[in-house]
Amino acid sequence: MATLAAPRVRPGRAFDLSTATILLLVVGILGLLIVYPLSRVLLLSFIKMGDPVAPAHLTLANFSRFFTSGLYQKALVNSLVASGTTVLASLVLGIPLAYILARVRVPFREALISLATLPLILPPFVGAYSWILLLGRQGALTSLIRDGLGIHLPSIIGPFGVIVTMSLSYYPFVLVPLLGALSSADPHVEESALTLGASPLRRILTVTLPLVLPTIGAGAIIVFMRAIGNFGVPALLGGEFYVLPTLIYFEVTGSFNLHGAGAIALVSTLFSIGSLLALRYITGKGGFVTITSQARPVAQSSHPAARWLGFGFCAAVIGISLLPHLTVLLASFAERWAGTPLPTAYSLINYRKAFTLSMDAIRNSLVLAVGTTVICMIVGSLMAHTAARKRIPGRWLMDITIMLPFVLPGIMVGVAILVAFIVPPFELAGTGTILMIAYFIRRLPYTFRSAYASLTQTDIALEEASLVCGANQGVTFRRITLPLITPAIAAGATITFATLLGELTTTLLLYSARWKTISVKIFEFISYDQTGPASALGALLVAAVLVTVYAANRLSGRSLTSALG
Amino acid sequence: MKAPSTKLGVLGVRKVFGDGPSQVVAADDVGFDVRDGELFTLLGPSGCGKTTTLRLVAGLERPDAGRIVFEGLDWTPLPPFRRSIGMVFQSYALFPHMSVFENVAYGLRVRKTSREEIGRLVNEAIEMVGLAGTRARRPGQLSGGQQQRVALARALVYHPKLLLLDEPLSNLDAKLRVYMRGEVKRIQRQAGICAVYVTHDQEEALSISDRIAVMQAGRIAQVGTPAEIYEQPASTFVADFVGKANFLECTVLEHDGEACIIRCGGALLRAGAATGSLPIPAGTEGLLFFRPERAVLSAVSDDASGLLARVRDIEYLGSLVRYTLAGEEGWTVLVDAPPIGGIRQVGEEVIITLAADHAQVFPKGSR
Repeated sequence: MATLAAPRVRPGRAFDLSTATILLLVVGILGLLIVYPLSRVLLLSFIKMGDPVAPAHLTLANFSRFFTSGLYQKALVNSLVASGTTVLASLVLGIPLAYILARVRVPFREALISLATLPLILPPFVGAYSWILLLGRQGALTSLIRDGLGIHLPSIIGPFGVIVTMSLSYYPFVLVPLLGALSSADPHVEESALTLGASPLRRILTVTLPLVLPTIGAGAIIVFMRAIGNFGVPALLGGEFYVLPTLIYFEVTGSFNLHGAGAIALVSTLFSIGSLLALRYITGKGGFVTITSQARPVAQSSHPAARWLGFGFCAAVIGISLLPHLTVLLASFAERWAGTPLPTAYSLINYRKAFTLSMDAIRNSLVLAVGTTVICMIVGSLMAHTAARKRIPGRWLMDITIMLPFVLPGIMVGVAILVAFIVPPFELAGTGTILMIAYFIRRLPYTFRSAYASLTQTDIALEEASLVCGANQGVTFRRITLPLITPAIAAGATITFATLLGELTTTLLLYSARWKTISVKIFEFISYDQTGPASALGALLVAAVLVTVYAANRLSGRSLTSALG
Repeated sequence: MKAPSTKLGVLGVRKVFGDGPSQVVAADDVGFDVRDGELFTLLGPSGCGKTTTLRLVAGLERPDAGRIVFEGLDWTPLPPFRRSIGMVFQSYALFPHMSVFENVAYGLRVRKTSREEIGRLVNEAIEMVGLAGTRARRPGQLSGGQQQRVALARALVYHPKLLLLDEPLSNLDAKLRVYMRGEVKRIQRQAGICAVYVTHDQEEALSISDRIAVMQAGRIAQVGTPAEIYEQPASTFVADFVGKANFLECTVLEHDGEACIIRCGGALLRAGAATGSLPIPAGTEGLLFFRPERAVLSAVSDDASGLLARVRDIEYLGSLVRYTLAGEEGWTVLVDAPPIGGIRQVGEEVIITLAADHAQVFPKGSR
């Protein structure tokens, strides 16, 4: 029965115009700001500096330096050693901490968990710098440890400092997911191991840990990705200990060899992508799901000794990991502090100096962070809506493109933005715009991901009900969709704002005299040995980040740092 | 052309999802019309295309072919918000961030109705569905039945011209479901609105509908009143899907267009011909269909004529007894009988008698 000459239906305009517009916008933004710069840096890395960009000049010369230059080889080895050691240290800190927090009724458990996630949002380079205050040659603890305990710590400047700082910043990436896995594991499985005659230690080693091994593996890989891409910590504490990101910076600022920098960034990116594939493989296997018919919380030991020993251990680790930021706070009020455990004179002089010298930087940081956050909120939620609600071809490509700058080392993104936008037709060198572009593409995943997750959890029938009630797409988005995903967008925006205030990696490559930010200013103060004002600015930064996240947590009633995991 | 009372016309609509080998024809040449004030039901098993058809009427999906016409106006190119419809979703789709009052008021607010008018209409609607006293609550604080009522009020408050209901009762427990279907009918009558109702529950469809379209694999199998659908199913599929059905193989001996003489289970029987089926040539195979409660059981005697069978199983259901009866040729049928005058025993031989107007013959192999 053929349809009786029924006319083919033309798609209504009201529907597809908006879809097409948004799609065009998405493709335009992603193409111009992500695909183009990354392709360009890829291309330039295969062309020698000074040669014209043409197929005839394609060469591997920039990469051959990894075989000829001792500096390059050392940086590569250093990167791998430092990142690998950081992973090990993060596991050593994160696993016992997670086990204790999950399985022992530790006093102040909730507070400890909140404090343990703080290093995820605090700028690591502020912590790095305060280790100099603590353990540098003139450090507050240096003489104490050397004379009091008789321990000769290696110099904080060099691999030791880099690894310590990165480990204390990144162990929450192991702790947080593992804590979740251990808390939600089916207690019956472990109980059956006990009934089978296994001793508690044997049970932990043969049942409990193997079950959460995929979670631990995933955490370890994330730590590795972060560590190998970290620029701020080795820049401040590395000294002669060059790693790939600092080598890139050296190539850019030293000889302005963007081609060479691109090649190093590409090599560094290969490790990130390798890690990402490993992560996909591990999480793709889904780990082990312990199936249970009745959910019962895991048993928590409430033996007083276990409780207080556990508390002692957790408080010590978390305390040490937050010690640098506390030190910055203390140092910001110190007028004189050298070689003694505590400052010998307090005043507000550091703040006065910091303010008079950095008002522009504070304003710049606020303008850039607020501006980028607003743009990320708008674009991120629109893109998330498109990805979650429209039947469009190539959606996976859009997802990968948005997430790409998130997994790439920040310095790689910085180099890409540099090579793409300082030449015609853009010529944005030294402008606020180029900084915002870099910020935008690196932070877009936060709002995109959280809005997307929220949208996929929201029944699409709600929007359909609104359309049926007579509201058009615009009104529906504004009155139904937006209010429902606002908490998620706010969570993404909070993290975006908090992490942009102290952004250092891309900023150092892209800033100009006109667009110095707080982080650049801190970096400068440290370079000129102005520890006082550096501490004051660092303390302000830490305080601003904490206040932002705390306020957002209170407003939304849930933990926003969980969005980082 | 059309009867003057026709409101909604669904004309040969087709909807295909996906492409290539994974494509699914969800609706294929679906056509029906809904009259003024009528409650019209789309009934069928899951995946038959009934919800897709409803969504096409709502404008939430666009047809690949065919048209949706309402009061002579072509709705096909119109987005949902330009069609004057109210819709109740299976999940109710109440806005979780709004109170009951705001949920119901939503359709009025987007229509820029004045504040006093909104207050009056919303209260009227809330009253109509019997929800006074909950207007400040959030949907999460309401029971399933209350949410259902809010959804109805929200769909009706702005006086749409057409009400669409997508399995509105499927999330309620059995008892409430029966009560609410009466309520839905009452409210629809009271609002005087024509409605399209989607369900997979044949009992619900029979009890609530003015007319029913039974759907099968994206197509309409039959349109008719509940009695027509139940008593004169147009196909074995409809017969089987709506109510309980017995099918027995038979040979048609004579067929005069209205009734046939058939040989079935060793007996000669008179039965009606299936509605719309062409005369079945004498000598061909057919399928005899009858409802369990339309057959009469009697003791074996010389003057009783019908199908000889033996009681194999008995289910005592209180208001009736359901017998599973087996014939010598290996067939089994169900017969429901009131437990008046005693219950027959397992193993007992009985005669199944069928009145000609309660038995029907389908050509064999038809669906």
